[in-house]
Amino acid sequence: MKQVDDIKKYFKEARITTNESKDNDVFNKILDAANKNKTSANKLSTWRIIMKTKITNIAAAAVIFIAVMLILQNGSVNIETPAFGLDDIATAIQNAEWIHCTMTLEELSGNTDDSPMGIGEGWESWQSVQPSLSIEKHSNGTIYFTEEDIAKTSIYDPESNIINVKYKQLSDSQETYASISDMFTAQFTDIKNRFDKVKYEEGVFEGQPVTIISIDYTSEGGLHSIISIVVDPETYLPKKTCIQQAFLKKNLTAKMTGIYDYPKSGPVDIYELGAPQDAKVVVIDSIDMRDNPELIEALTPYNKARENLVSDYILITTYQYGSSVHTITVTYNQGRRQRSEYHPVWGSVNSEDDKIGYKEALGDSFDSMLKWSQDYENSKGKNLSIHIYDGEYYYRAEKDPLDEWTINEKQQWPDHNPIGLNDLSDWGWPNILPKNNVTKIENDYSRENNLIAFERILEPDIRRDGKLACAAQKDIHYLDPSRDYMCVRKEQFHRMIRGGIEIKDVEFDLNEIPDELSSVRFVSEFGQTDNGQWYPKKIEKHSKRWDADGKEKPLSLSLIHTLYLKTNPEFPEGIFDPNNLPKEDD
Amino acid sequence: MLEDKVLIFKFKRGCNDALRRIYEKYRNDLLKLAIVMTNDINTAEDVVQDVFVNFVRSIDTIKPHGNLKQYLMTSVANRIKNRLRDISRHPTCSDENLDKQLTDSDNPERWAILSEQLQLISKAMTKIPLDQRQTIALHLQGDMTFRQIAKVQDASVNTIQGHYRYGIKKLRTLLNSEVTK
Repeated sequence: MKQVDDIKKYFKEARITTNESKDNDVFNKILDAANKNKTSANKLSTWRIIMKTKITNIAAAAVIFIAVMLILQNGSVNIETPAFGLDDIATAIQNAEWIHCTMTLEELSGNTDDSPMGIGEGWESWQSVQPSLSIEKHSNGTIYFTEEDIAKTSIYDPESNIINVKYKQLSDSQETYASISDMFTAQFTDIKNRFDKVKYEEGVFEGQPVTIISIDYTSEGGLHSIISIVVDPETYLPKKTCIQQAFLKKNLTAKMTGIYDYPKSGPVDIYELGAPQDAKVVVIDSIDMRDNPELIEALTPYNKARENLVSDYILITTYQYGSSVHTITVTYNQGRRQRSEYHPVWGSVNSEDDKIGYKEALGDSFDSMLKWSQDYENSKGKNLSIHIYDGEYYYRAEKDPLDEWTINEKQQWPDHNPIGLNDLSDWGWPNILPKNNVTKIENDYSRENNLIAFERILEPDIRRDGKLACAAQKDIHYLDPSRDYMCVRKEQFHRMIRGGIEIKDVEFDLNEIPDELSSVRFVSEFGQTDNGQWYPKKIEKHSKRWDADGKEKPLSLSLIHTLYLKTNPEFPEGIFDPNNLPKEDD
Repeated sequence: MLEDKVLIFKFKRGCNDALRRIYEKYRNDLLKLAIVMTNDINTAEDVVQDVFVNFVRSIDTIKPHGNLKQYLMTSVANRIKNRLRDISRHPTCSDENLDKQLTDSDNPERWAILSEQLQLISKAMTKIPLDQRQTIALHLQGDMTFRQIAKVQDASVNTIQGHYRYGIKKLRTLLNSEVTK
């Protein structure tokens, strides 16, 4: 038999097929698991419907109340018209600054195994529009505190003593309400047609005469509800709701009552509701990343300078640790087209002789470096990766030390160049997004050096395995208006994490940003092209590190980048042509 | 990639055809990865089935912008790594046993049917260390870059490249000795 030289090809050619009948058996098992998963989810959602239905939300309860009134006034239900009208109720609700409700589970029967609460348990809720807050405190100690304007929900879990903070992305079209009354009215249309039967009667509540509205309806999903709303005929405000629900398909029934009052104020934060001050706060979702119009304006000159950067150039960048160059990148840029080559030197320079040899070959000029990179490309036994963006598609080819090429499938990127590394813009004009987590600031450094500063806050990064990849971080970018708004300095502040630690074991505040720098990257030498374009010629990075015992060491020089730029060059023929990339068989 | 996002989106909304498409799209690749890592068709079939079952159970937590193939491949590799570590506490299999495990693939009741070439590779792979085996399998079969594998294995890229380089050399020697027999 033939010798196996091309392992990769040999590997790819090794075939596997499957038995069709077994294929179906296995798929059916997977499908079963999927269906069981859905059933399990349904169990929960059933409980969500019954225990957390909108109707049990005090705001929605009042909506129903208004809806009932509308139905009555419109004459769609043939019963006696109540003694008070919609306007009276709307005015009464509008005047209520806060609505407070205590919901309690009073009866429970049927398939109750998965009940999230027992008889006598429930929750308290508060709602206001100014400020826009929705709050729930459950009898098991869990607290939900939602600031609707910024879509932020803080959830206190008493078992772990952790407050999880979640942010929901706000859309610009999200509705906001000026008052509770507006909110109810806006929601009215949605539920107007849900009711089958509405009953109106006089009654007594806490020794006082009241009006009782009863609604009876069955949803398409088989949830049958009978809702009674007790209304004070003098103030026109709901005083009590009683909700009986039966999920017919699941043999599950429950009855909850809600008692309402209308205080002048409500809880201001989650701690006022009983969350301990020492509870650990964990931010587990991204903050609002909507565009910030003020920042768009503030960043206009920077972005213009970024767009007007010289577009035809070859840029060679060295990465130097200590006295040795670790990596060399070569970027060819012509308009929207770009080719980026990544030449790792480390590993191919082992002995002192090697070091001297490569330093001589590399030289210290643009031409010697370019020649070195071209020779490197043809040399054996070295890693190399080449990225090409042709203005629409992105291509990547990688060579391993065995000189085997991997060609990745091309990807369409019609809007922008996805490479974005090691080009002029990356080094001097990185993308600063005008999002809400970025603010324009002034500090001593910016004032003393006549620079414009933008601060960006990043939330803690928690990995999928529950480990902390990075605590909260602050970056400050300093832009120099006298040098084409180049970003001349970038500071980073964050607590150093080594190797990722279990989130439950974290003893410090994830959101705390230390005052001390963890790293700083700055331009230590500037260059200028023939047409006056500034560019960073030398960039230094100073970072904190750890000693052998795992203790942080002070900032020290960790990396030097030297940039060799040639503008408007004569590009090698076909350098941007993806067809000229090596093939897998090469 | 876009297709995967659409399939996950559809499956999350209850479309079983989308699940079938995902299953058919990646089944063979996952089986092949599992077989070259274990040389044990029974284990490979179990692992792949488990990975799909786990995938459907955790579908709500899977983000559609992720790389589905990489997710599934990594799941297979990690499960095998865990199993092999468990097995390593017990007496190791002899060559004879390994051969027997693969000849089981001729059984018509088997799910996976292997070509002779794949059987040779699988057998040779068992003779190189687990880390090297995982790196080679994920790179060649999983189409993962060294950087991605380094992330999965929580190791440096240099280490992974070393695993790959040494593993490939050994594998080449083993395969050549096998094919010239």
